Amino acid sequence: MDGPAIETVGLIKRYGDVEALGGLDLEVPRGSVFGFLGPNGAGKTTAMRLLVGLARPTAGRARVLGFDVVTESLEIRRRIGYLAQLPRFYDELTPRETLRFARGFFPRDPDTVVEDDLAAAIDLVGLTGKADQRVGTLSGGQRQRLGIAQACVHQPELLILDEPAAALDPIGRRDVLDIMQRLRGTTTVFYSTHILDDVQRISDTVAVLHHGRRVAQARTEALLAGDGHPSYLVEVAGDVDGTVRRLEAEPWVDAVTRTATAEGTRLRVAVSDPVVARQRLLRLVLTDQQLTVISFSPHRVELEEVFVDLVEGARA
Amino acid sequence: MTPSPIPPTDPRTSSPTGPRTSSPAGPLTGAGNQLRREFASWWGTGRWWRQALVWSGILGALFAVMHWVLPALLPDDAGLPVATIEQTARQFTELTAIVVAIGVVLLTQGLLLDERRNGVLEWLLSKPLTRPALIGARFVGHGAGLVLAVVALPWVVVHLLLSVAAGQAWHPGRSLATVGMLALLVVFHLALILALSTLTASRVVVLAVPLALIVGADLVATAMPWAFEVLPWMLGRVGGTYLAQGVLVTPWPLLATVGWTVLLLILAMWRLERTEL
Repeated sequence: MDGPAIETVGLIKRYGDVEALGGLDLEVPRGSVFGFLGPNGAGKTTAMRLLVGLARPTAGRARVLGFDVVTESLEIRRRIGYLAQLPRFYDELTPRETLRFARGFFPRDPDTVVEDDLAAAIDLVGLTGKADQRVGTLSGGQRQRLGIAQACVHQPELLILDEPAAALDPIGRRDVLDIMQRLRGTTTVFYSTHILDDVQRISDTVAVLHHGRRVAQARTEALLAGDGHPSYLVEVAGDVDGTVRRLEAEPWVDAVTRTATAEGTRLRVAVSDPVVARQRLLRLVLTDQQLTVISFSPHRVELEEVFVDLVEGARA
Repeated sequence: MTPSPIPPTDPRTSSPTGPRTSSPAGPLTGAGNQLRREFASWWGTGRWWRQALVWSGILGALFAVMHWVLPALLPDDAGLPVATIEQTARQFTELTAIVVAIGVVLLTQGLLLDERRNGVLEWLLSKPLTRPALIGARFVGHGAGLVLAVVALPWVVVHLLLSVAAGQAWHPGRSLATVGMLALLVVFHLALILALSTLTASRVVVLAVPLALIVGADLVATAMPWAFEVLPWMLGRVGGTYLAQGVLVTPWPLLATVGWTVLLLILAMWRLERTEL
């Protein structure tokens, strides 16, 4: 079908005087692994609860898979899988029983099909060895995996995952990200996180939320490309004033910013002509006999940098 | 001849992962699956027989104390008339109604509250399960378990004790009718707990309100005799008289309790529908 998997327009949610969402505009393309990024308290969980129908918007509108979140919430919940931030299940059931129960809310299929679905979901999250132990005995990471399995067990069109890897140790986090990678292509994954490294690894599209408002949305590579102007990092020890003046005088240098480091100063040199920069930049720095060059490299923009710029820009 | 056009389909109902047929969504969507879960929490575990055993012990002991132990403890020269089995049956039912009501309140006070607090409710309601269906499934599933384990099965013991005390088989019809009235009291309190749990997140309130009503109902009925006809807590007196004499003094407390139960369930469904998680 056409149209985005999720679309919100001016979505507002207030709790008394507190505005949790301040007019969220969002468009999640079908088939994407969409990272919903924001600092703690930005409104990510609130937005997800509105989409799932656990809360009602104060104003604005939102559609999930073409259905209105207020008037057609049940139709949405029949087509999505949802993982809460701190998933809890019946402690007395086993993971297999939990999945059977969760699967029971969806279309009735022959028992063999259901059991195949359960086995596939258990296998997907690597809980085969724990499938018949009580949920109450599972670790936080195993519970999180079970959360993903119960969200996937009916093969939904859209997965909404609230901080799926936040509470996990590095290995658990890697495993959850691997699971999400494996779901790419079969379902749309909309997940929230504040772990930037995760987003950079697996998301093809990113939206950044701050104080309940979207401050950016783009494909991950476009966001990482920044303004398109390449830059280089030169870390030096010694007095850099003269070198900075000489660099700023070059026509191919756009800007030079300096940051103090443990060993000296890191210069970030934004350039307009990367070919000339590669030929001349390091030579120019080395002409200053008083300076010791510690390192030199092209600057790769990290999502963390973009995120901080966006959030601090929004704050300003 | 032109080929007939492919009928338009609603693109929203198609799935990229292979469409699965599903019945139309309705107000009770998900009720069947949830009801299976509620039943399983009673019949799929040892809960039903453990509760039945405990309540058989409580009711049996209560009857034995009232009919055999207490009279034996009273001095012969106290001048008190010896209680007949009919008097014991009436008083026992009145007291049982109070004990059972308190028991149901204690057993069910966490039914919604606990899940609301620990996040299970959020999980359930993220599935295609309507909120009225959740309330309905919980009421039917736990109502059946409670009626059987707290009243019906233990009453077998009570009926035997009544027969022993009477020296002949007790009237089965009177026992059955009394069980029915006590069952009504059980489901009323279950509905009351469900409704209160949707109105407040305070366990103290959910416990205190029913307990206050159970204890205070007699005072209300004494102060305002007309209230006897509409208070569910009067079912103990009605049931006691029926068990002892086979006489239904008034049908109104029964009808009123059915009405209150339905109203409380509607309130619970309406309130949960408006609850944000």
